[in-house]
Amino acid sequence: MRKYIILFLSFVFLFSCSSENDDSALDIALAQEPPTLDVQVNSSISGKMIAVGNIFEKPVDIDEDGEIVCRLASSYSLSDDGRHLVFEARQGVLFHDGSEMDADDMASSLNRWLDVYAAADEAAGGNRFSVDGNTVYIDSDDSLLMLLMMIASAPQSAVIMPKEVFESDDYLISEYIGTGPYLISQWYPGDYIEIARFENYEPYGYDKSSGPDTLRYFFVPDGTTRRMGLESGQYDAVDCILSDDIPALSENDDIKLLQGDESGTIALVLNKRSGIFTDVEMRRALSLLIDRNELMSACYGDYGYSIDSAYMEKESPWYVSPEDDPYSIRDEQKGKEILSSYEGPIRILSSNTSNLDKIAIALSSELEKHGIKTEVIVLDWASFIEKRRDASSWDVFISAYTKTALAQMKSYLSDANPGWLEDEKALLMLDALNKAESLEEAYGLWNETQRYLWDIVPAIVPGHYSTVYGIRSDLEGVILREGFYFWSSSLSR
Amino acid sequence: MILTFLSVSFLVFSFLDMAEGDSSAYVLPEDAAEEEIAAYREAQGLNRPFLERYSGFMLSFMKGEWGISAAGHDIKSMIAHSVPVTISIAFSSIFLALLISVPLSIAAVRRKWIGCGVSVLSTVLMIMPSFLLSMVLVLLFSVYFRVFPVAGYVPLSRGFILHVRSIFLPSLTLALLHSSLFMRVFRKALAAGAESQYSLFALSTGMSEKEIAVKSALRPSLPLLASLVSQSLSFALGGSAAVETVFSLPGIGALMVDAALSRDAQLAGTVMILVAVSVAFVFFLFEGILPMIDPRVRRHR
Repeated sequence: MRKYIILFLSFVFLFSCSSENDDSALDIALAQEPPTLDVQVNSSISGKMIAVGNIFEKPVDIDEDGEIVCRLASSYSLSDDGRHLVFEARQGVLFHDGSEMDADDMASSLNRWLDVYAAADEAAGGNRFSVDGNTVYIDSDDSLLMLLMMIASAPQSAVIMPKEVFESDDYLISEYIGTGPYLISQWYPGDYIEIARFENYEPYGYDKSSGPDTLRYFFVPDGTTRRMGLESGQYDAVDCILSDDIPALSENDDIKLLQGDESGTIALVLNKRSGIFTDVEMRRALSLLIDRNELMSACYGDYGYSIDSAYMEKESPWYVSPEDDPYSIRDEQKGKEILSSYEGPIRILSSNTSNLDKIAIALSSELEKHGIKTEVIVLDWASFIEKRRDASSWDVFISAYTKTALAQMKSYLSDANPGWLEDEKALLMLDALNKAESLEEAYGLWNETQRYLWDIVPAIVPGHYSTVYGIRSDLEGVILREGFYFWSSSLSR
Repeated sequence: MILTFLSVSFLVFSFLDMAEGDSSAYVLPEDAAEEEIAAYREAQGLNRPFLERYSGFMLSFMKGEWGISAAGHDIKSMIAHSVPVTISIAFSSIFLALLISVPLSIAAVRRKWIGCGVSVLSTVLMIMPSFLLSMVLVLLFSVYFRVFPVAGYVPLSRGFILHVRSIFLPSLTLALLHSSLFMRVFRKALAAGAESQYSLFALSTGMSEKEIAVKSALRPSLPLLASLVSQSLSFALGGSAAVETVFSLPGIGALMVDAALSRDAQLAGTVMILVAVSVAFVFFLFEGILPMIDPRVRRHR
């Protein structure tokens, strides 16, 4: 027996001596693996964190102040009436395959993006980009301001690739050739993606050349494993720190916690096509009845959320203060009175991703407490998406919505998406927003629209959440903006 | 054999077909418009009738063209990346399980108090869920002692020691689970062997207890152990989804879970056929080894 113990311990010692990390690489653990890095099609935050800015770049981007800044376009112009949009392609930018980017590549990429992104197609009025020498331009009968905003910031990213990439018949691209400071050096689905410095990257305007030589993104779905990996030094940075882990981690000197701006909203989207919530009084009653704090803490614990019924995030210029939301101040008695006239169970639909099912259960128990019958349906993501399309099978669904740059990008504000906002006045107001000729005009229109929407309650926003990131305390220069980015970070190991 | 592959792949294919939703939910954004979804389905061939898709899949599988997954990755290279992970963990976990269970079982037959300890241990291990066990091991070895990494896989090509380090904890987790079964069954067989007439005879000829345990009790129990090992091995080759998830290992189990969640019938079908082949292969191998260690089987033939 003793012999075995000695053997085991010596074995353990043998393996504990080897080195943990090579110094030039930064190891990052992400909760989610992007299904594809075709970021024109897929809008996952993890895909953005890996690919947008690192591998691919856009013609224009939005800076911290919400202003449009040039990237791959050396300049842009929008005519005074907003109906003519021009980008000038930057000279001397190389793709990862060595070829030089030109206006043709920019037009093909933007047109493919319009093909796969219906909301952008609508903003473009069905028009496409054309090439004129070194510039690309698009004309429309309506203002293209919102299209410009979308190119800069939409969840489906308008990134530029060589036009040859789009020649294949497949729906998704299979070659990832960009202009960014990093190129994909290794990719093992289910394991990790490694991106390495692109030798011929020429910094322009916005320097990204000081970051680490190699970034490795590991996919670690388990929150506890991510935390333990950060604590043991195996990972230099991790995303989605669990709320329960925050107290312990903030006492650890080796670790820094970063909390960015609000990253998105939780919404209870009501079915306005069939069932109980076709009645606006019922929708208002539900909004009055619920305890928003209860719902948010069911999912997030003690940290990382705020109670706020505004549809847009607090830091956004679109934000409308929720004081004017007549149905966000709790009135249990009134809510109960109206809702209890309904006999059948209220069907609450949610998916088991990101703990959203906990909100569904909290909502159910709150309603049951008031004697209102409920039925909770929790499904995996693919089934949830499918079930949602069937208006006859649910009354309210719960989902998380990542922050959007434009108010009209919230997908529950559409007559085509589940929830089916078919109110004519609301649709007209949203359409006017799409045609706004200046941002000031758009903000003003949204202010009115938000107030109207609060009144007809197409959805209830109990609050906003912010993702908490954990990094080693000697890692400097991490950029936090809808995810974390490392192109100008450095380690003082 | 071929019937097995056909039925396995058919079942996987039809289950994923019956499940709600398809891979568009996985690849496209949550708020994808109807026309985007329709265009994706068209391009991926999801609109074609079930039998046409299934027979197309089987034909290209036979030809060795395994195609691309719903997310556009080459299935062959995905599998090539995950098979070594699972094989390496399967074999090392069986090896560790034998290392733990055989000496303990022999000791348990010889000393009563060890026997009690072993019973308790194997019961505890048997009822312990694998993810809990792995968490305990990670806390102990990775966070507290910092000896092994918390998660991730390092291929053999990056160095033997790094490789073994990365698979040690997951293998140990599975090994402890396997060994609980090994100990229960193997110990009983050993005890029966030790009390049998030939052992008594050996005792009377003056052999020591230790010699008896090894020579006359161990030998007849070996075939039983071999069949346990072959079962556990074929089980392990299917990959353990729970352990692979906790340790973020890109093995077959994790691949299957991903394929099912993303409704990727092409990928799931391919992986299932390969798992079925490997299980059949292990049983075939076991049938070959059995006569070598069990003279009784040889005589019956």
